[in-house]
Amino acid sequence: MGTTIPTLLLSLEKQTFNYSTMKKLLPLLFIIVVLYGCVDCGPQQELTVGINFHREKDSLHLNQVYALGALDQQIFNKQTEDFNNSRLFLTLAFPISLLTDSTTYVFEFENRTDTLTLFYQRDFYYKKDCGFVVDTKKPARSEDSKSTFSKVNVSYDSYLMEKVTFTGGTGGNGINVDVTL
Amino acid sequence: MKALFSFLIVCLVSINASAQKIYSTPVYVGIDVVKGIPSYVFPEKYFIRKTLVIEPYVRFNRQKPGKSILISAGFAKGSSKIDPSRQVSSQQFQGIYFKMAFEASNRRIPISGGVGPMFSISGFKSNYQFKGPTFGDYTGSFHEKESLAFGAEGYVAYDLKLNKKLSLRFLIRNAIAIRPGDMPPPDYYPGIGYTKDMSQLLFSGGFSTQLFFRCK
Repeated sequence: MGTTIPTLLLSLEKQTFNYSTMKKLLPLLFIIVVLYGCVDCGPQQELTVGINFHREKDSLHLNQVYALGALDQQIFNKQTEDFNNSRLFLTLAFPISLLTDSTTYVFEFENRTDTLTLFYQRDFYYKKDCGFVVDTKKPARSEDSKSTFSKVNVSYDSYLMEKVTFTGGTGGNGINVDVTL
Repeated sequence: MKALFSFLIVCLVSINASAQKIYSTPVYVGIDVVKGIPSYVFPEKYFIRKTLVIEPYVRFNRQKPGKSILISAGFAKGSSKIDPSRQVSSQQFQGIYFKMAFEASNRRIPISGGVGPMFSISGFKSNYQFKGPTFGDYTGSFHEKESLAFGAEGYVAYDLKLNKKLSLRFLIRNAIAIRPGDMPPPDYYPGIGYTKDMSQLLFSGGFSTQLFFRCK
């Protein structure tokens, strides 16, 4: 009998500590496992592009914006309102067509009209546990946009996040456009 | 698909022929009389619509008393119920399947139980839709030509004798199968049954009624 009563009590205390600590950590471990096991399905609806407007003077008034071939132009009323209420820099989300590989927007300002045509490649495929998903890729053609704006820069990223983490994941930015008026 | 179906029929006939030599009589031939019928009677309410299911059987006794072997080859063609709220509102399917069961019967009451392997080769067609409130909905199509599923089926059956030659069999069946690959979940898998939202591990059960004719 090499075990004394204090040693036995100490080991019991240790066991209790380990058990209660484990009990507290278990939900945390569960959350970590669940979050790391998460899959980003990405958008399963009409996609939007983020258009960042850089304007040199804030007095430019937008009368209306619309997209060619759009069945519903209602969403663009909100974009027009937001554009006119903002200052020098502004980012607005515009829907893109899933029916074609390009979308053309017409911006009617007070004293001029500009057009912006975005090119992209639609990618529809089946993703396990998600269903059919839609994403876009850089267009096969050399030009990514056509516009009457002074400068347009288009960046392409997947709409699906690469990895879902605690902070929200990486990637999934989709198409972003920088427009200098 | 047609060639495979013919091959299965030939196999079935040859197995039946050799079975008559090797095993003791009687030999029964049967057909499922329920599958597919509700899909014509209630096409909008049942989980499959206008689905043709042909499932013939051959059953012969083994030399051990109360033991028998059941072999079946089936064909199913139809479509699943339309649900506009889903991304894939309906699926069309077509497939052939082969089942075998080792059956044991109770000698006092006409109840039997059987279990055995099954495999199915099926094709699926569907349209999927992405909502496009601004530019209009996008509709794409998907076609999976040949999908293989294999597994086992078990059943418990009650035999009701109608006369010397004919009998009706009421059974409860359950099938479990694996389908390799990452393909969209089938709403109905020929030979297995209702498999909505199951992509790789398929599990389905149900009731059925079969009509058997005693050959010898």
